[in-house]
Amino acid sequence: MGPAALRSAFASAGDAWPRTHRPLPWLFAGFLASLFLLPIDAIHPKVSLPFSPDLDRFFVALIVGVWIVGGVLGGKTVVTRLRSRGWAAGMIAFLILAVTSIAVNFDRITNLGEWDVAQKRLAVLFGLAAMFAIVSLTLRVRELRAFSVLIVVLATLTALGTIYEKETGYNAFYSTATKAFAPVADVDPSPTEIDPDQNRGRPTITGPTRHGLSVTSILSMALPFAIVLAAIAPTVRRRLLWGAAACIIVTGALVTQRKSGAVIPAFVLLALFALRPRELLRLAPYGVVAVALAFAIAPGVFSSVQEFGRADSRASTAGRTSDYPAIVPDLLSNPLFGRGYGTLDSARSDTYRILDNEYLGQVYQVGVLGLIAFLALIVTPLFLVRSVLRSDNPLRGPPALAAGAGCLAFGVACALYDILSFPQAPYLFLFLAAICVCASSVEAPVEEPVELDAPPSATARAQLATS
Amino acid sequence: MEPARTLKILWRRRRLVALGAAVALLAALLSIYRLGLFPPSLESRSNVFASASSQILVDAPNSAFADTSFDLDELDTRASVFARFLASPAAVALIAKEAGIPFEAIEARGPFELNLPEVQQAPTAEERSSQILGEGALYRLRFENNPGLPIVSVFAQAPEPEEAATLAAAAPAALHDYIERIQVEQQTPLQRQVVVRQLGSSRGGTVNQGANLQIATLVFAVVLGTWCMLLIPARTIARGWRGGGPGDGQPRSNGSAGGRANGRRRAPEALRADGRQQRIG
Repeated sequence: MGPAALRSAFASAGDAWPRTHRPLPWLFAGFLASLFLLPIDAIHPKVSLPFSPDLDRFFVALIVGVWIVGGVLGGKTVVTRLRSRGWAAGMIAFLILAVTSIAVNFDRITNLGEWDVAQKRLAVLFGLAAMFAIVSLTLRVRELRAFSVLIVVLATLTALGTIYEKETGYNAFYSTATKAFAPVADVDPSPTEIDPDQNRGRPTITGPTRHGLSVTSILSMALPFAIVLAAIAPTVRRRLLWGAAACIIVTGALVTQRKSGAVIPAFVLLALFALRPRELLRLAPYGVVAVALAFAIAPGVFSSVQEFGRADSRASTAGRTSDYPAIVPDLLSNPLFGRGYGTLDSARSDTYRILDNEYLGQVYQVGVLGLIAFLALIVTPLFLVRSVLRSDNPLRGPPALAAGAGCLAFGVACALYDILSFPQAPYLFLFLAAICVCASSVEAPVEEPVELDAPPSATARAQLATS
Repeated sequence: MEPARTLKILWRRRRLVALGAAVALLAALLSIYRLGLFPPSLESRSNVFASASSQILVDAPNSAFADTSFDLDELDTRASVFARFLASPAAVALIAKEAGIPFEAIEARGPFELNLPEVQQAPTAEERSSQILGEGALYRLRFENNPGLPIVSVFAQAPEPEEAATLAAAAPAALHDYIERIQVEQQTPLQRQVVVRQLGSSRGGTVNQGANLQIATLVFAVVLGTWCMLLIPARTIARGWRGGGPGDGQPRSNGSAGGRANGRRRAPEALRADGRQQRIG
């Protein structure tokens, strides 16, 4: 390939979302918007299908379909992306162990009538894996900043809607979805419950999700993007803008009055400070002013911190700790592969417990091997971006740092509730993991056929990190 | 496009892919059949089950069913006691005898306190231990009782629909005989007797007809997929093992200059390209 062809290749590679005609990035943007703004697991299209017809399944099917059609009809590739070796290892290992856990327990699963539930959860897991793979293969480095901005904008809207829900009891996400989807889908009623009598327990503030913890998780996973964008903003005006967005997102997480609303953002902030102390310290004065203003204007915002001492909160903690001894018989009877992925059906309360810890849930369902694979799934993106986390390359460093911190937030949230029971946070996590994969990849014009498994070399990584 | 390139690589290694398909087929068969070595045998796993149900009405000799003057509270309480009794080993032994099924092959559970909060319904470690012990039973009985009704619901599960129906019908019959025997022994006056009636006959049907095919397909797809994924890095590893590995600069017969070596040589160039992209943007 000569210099002219190379230039042509680069020009073509400049085609990046949102200035692109490629359909997949637009579908990703639409999917992200639906995660943050629609109660996707409460919208049931009026069609009869062999699988649970929730909105996210249709989105995933559409994305997979467009990707396959693009693969068949697409022209010659001008840019190739060399991803780090093992970028999908965690996901593949977890998928294999999930299926293995079902296969080895299949007699018992069918005997106990758990196959239907397991089948549905497995289908969701395959959907998640497909999303992760397609986003990782499709996203371009030049698109990462634009998607970072999109995540912050969407999270800010979600936080504003959640704050409004707390103040008025009106869930704009469910109400809008009910009206918009009325002709084609049924929408479950909003789970919002706000009792004016504060002593009657915690209110149920859920935003676009089914549970307050779920909305807290997605806001916390989006928070590092707002902070990182504020940290790298070239002007004070922009810094204030992104800082305000970060404050709104934190407020949105706190108003759910869940302990996780304080714990997960705190971990995110700690991780960011640990990784880029100099840049983040520049934001400290803004943070102090924001906290002081919040105390002055709306001290109720920090009610989730007061939650630590409430009686129902203590009961929740006691419920979590009682899970540990209760699942010992199951762990001992199936230590390696667990009882089978997706068999923990919390609707059968006479048999199973709601485990407020995803790690516990995974070791219960897929055994010790499955738990290791699940941990690998969470840690792999962090491992991949370690070389670009501190990079000053504006296309790679900031998105990698934010996505890495977002993945860490997911890892923390997994210890606080059964996160895979709600679709938003897992989808967002895998999108962030795909951003990590993309940020750590190397893009090059295609001169000659390149091996699929060719990783970026150590030299390339070093140059990438210092570029 | 990467999927197209992947398919090309797999096509070049189609013999190994075919071997993988054979391995996947074997794994799929093992998921639905049990392999015996001494003596060699292939036994189908019991992955398909049937279920049936019946209902027991706890009544008075002059049926309270159609008489509004009867106070049902006593019958409600009696039904609740019977539901608990039916899940006990003594009752299961009677049911097993009635149905002609070995006692140890039956697991009975219930009734469950459905009105309690979930946290209180969740089983403790001790309860789970006994539940786990009974999970392997081929015949299962579950009893349910609504505290406000003098009715016990019986849900039975067995490998065959006829067996499930027999088991569901055996529970009311066994309870009827047991109560009647006690009443005879104690010479209970007629007006104070409890009568156990079965409401209708039990019918059974297969629940998970396609389960074997589904799990076999799933196992086949995952094993074959994993095999194919392993083929691609295996090629690089094999090349490195043979000594013609990364960076040797030897030309390849298929036109590619060697994956790893190629990646290493081209990476700085790729970085420059990336930088140029930024400038173009």
